[in-house]
Amino acid sequence: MKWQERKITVRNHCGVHGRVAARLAELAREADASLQIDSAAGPVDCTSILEVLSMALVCGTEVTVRARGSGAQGLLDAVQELLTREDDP
Amino acid sequence: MGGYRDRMKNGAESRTLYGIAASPGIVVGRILVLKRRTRRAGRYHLPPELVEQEVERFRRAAAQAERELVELRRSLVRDIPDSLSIIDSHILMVKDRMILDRTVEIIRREQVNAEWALARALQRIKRQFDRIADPYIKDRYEDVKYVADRVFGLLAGRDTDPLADVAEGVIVVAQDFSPEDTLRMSSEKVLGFLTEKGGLTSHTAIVARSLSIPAVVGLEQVTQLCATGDTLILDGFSGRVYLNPTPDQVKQYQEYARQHRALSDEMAFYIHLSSETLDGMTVRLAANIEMPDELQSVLRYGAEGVGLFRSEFDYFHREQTPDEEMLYATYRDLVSVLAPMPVTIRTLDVGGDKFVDKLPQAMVCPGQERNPALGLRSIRFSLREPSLLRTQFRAMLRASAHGRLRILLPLITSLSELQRIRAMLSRVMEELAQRGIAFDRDVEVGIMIEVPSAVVMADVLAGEVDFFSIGTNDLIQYSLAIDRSNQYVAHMYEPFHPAVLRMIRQTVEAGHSRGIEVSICGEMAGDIISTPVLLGLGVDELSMRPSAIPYAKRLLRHSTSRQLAELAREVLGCRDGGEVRNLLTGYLPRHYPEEFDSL
Repeated sequence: MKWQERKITVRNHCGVHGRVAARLAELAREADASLQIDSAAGPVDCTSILEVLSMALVCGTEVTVRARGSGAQGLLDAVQELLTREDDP
Repeated sequence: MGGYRDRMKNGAESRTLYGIAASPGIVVGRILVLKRRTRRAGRYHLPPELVEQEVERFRRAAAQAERELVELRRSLVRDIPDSLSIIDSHILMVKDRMILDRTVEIIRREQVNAEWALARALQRIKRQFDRIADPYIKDRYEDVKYVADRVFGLLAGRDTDPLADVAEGVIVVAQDFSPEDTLRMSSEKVLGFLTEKGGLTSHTAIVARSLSIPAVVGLEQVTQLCATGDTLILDGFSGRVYLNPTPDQVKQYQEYARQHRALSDEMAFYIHLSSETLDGMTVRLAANIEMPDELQSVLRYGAEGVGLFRSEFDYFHREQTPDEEMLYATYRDLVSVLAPMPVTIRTLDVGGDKFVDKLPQAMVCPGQERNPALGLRSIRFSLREPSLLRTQFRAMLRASAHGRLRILLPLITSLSELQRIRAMLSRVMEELAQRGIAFDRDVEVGIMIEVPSAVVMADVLAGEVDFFSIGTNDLIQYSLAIDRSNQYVAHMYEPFHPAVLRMIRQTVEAGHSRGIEVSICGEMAGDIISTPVLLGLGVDELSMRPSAIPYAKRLLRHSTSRQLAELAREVLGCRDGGEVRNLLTGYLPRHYPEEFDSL
């Protein structure tokens, strides 16, 4: 199966930490798909909250998010919604 | 001498310590000292046949830690959303591969004990987090440490619930509490909190207040000074702590505690009653707060809105100056939870000097002001840094779409100053309207009356605003020329100075003649002795610390409007503060026997 890609600009005003990071890792764990974000050090599997945090995605960062699996499309939508919320969900 | 013998018996010395009163209430009890676990796990080489056993031991500890966290999350009946999200991320961390898989890998590759391997895995995570520049994200390493501590504890075979073996209520003493610790302490077994670190806004203080558990914080070295099993009196009103108190002290404090409880039970009765006099005159009793976390207290004590939200917290307890979104989130949450009750938000009210290192981009650098109280502070600072004020206005206006928000401008001294700010506000409104952003066009705008010139010109100013809020602290300081923190003149600080009372009266009359509301939000509003006087002077709202509201309401409900007006008339006839006090000393117990016998 092929990876589906989407470019997303992080809009959470404190960046990806706290609730956003936890929710992202939960989404990746629950989904019927794999979820990766490209970082400087290569692709990061989002099921690890610590690796997600380590990317230090501050507000305004543009990231490439990639999903593969039967739920890929829905997962990308959910991730986009999460990362572009201006306030903490 | 029972006290002396008793002290000799347990060999402990009685002493008094002073900390910061973080959550009100008095408790007497035995203490439980929680020491932060020191994990000085040595490195042990394992024979090859024991390596898989060690992996298994580690996995069991990690799984147990996860179960405990899940259980803890479920047991939290109280909805404290921020804390729940912290626990959610802890649950994710304890099963994270950077902890789990790496530790297992190190045990196998180096044939070492689990503690050593986990410590090594942590070091690698720490190195990764050390490279992060963003302070919010970088700080999450603290969470990693809490989670790891839990696993270390389980590996050492220690029970991670420190309260498990405790049969009776205890006062818990620690250097500091993690958010989870504090939440878990919401058990009946915890009588009080005592910590070495922290201030009024520390996590422990906030949670303690929301759980109504007495707490004293910021008492350095306290974990060194006492031991589990010692007896302690903790006075969350004054911040005083008596370690190994004498039996007489215990008896005395047990009596205080009993009185206080009896009073609180009675006060609870008033929370749901309306705030009106016997003859039906209503006065709004509102809360002064500075943090959104205090919302729970606002609701619990039956406040009818927020009469003063001090907006400084967002500026001083964050790494960066808050942006519009951050402020908007704070204001919107407050306003929407309390709607339709009003929430009065005061614009930034600080001295400019506090901002120097906070705002690297700020043009302002006031340096040493010879007379800061008369210097670049409050609204003057905001006018000097208009972008800050505009940002705050935008956030306030956007939040106004979610309920009843009132904008309060501090330290106004003249009409032209007020007009300048109103023009700024109008421009911000136009800009939002053009961008199609929702806000309340009729948002109420009020000013603080806290400078004598504003009192004198109150009739003019009243034509330009929707409400007045009298800030008695500054009004007293500026009209009596007294700096309360100056020990040589502090005794001359006199809230009952007839000049002050007449100024309040003048402001109320000016406001009412223009049909606008007049509120009082200074310390005087929450002092039960001045409450009848202020009510008699005709104010529409008293705003005070939330816990004082039931007391003010009881007094209001035992009054009639005629009797209050008469008191005010008498008081206004007094020639100095001493006369006013004398008058009240006789008057209050006579008219309010219930209130003033118990004081």
